[in-house]
Amino acid sequence: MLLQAANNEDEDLSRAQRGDRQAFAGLVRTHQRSVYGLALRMLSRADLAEELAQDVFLKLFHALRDVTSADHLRFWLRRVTANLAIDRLRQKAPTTAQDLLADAEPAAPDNHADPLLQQTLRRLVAELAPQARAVVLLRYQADLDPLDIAEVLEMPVNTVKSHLKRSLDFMRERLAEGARHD
Amino acid sequence: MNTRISILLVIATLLATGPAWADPSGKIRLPNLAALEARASETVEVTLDAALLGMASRFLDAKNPEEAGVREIVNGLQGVYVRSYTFDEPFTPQKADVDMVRSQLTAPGWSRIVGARSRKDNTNVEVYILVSGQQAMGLAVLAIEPKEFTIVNIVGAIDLERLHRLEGQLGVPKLGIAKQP
Amino acid sequence: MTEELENELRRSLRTNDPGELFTRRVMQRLPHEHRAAPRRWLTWSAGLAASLLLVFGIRQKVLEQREQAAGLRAKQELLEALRVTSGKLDLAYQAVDKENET
Repeated sequence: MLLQAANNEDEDLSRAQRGDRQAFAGLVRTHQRSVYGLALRMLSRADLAEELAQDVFLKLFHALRDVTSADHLRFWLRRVTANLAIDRLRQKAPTTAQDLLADAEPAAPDNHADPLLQQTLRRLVAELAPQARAVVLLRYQADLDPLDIAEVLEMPVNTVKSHLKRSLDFMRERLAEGARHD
Repeated sequence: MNTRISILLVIATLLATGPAWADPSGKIRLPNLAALEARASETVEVTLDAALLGMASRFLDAKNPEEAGVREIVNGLQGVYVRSYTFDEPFTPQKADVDMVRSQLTAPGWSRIVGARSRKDNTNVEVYILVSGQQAMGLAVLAIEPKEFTIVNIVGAIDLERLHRLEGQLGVPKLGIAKQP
Repeated sequence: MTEELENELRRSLRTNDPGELFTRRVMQRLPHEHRAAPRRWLTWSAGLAASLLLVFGIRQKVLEQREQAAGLRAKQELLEALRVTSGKLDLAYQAVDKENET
């Protein structure tokens, strides 16, 4: 099943590169969840995430000839989404308490959910500086390993590991503080 | 008295009264720590000479507040050298490696401005600056923690306060652990 | 404990698919025409000249890209080094604070 999906993607890519718009729409459908999801957790706002995700696919449309395979496409989308999100975070005014309180979108349904904890974690992720946030999302949302994250974000792998460690320490500390005050 | 203020006063005094003799370079020889790297679960090894610092500086974004702050610090630096190792299990560095670093920091011009040992936490942190003319021209930090060993050497004109303030900007919000009395 | 936190993080960061409406909005933003650039028939000499230019251009681009990659790598290493340094200075301040308290 996975092999078939991968073959379909390679086919869609080939056809999209030859100008087939339906094939391009297929690529959008295949990847929109991961692109939008990364944008949403980076920017914490559904409207900004949608705008960014659309921009990413527009860029893809114009850069299709540079994409060499389905794997490369995944890599390309993550890199462009993360970098665009980091740029936009740096341009906008600092995150306000209001931004952090408004939970842009709850997580996808899960039988093991602890909604309050999950909301808190999303808020803590939203407090991280842009690059650290991107590292955490690529690790725990996109499930990339540190080496792949390093390639996507063009940073040394030790920097990735450092971001992960410090971010987890930060979240652990804040969760513990929260528990002490309860 | 506030710790940070008292340390800054020490530095200011050293700068005002420090020796004006010929400049030692501020660069220390680092021990060969390949054996540590093999055992460490995380390693940070950075070697940036003046040329690489210049190159790095060109890519710092002046519009990004955190990188703009770094740019100000990097101006005037000639080298940044870091060796930092994190271990899964408690670890004690080789005395020879530690002594090799310390012995260089007894050279003229170097002064230890912080030497703090905590038996409870099994932590030993030493901070040295090199005063030349009336400026801090070198920084060395030796930090021995239960599961981390770090040597830092920065060469060139340094603003310690600016450097310390970076922690709140570089990736993780300040945890507010060091509270003011 | 870390594994628990990591698992909770994974759960909390999942998102839903934005749906068919999103796909349609993306397609609506595409330029109206998307045609491959018309192929031109090149003479042999023009083709050779174009190839040589391409080779030099690519070489130049590769050199520029290498320099950029090196500069970006140096920048990341610098940021990491300063992060470590700043953290250890904070450790020093904390250690002195603790000494002063006892």
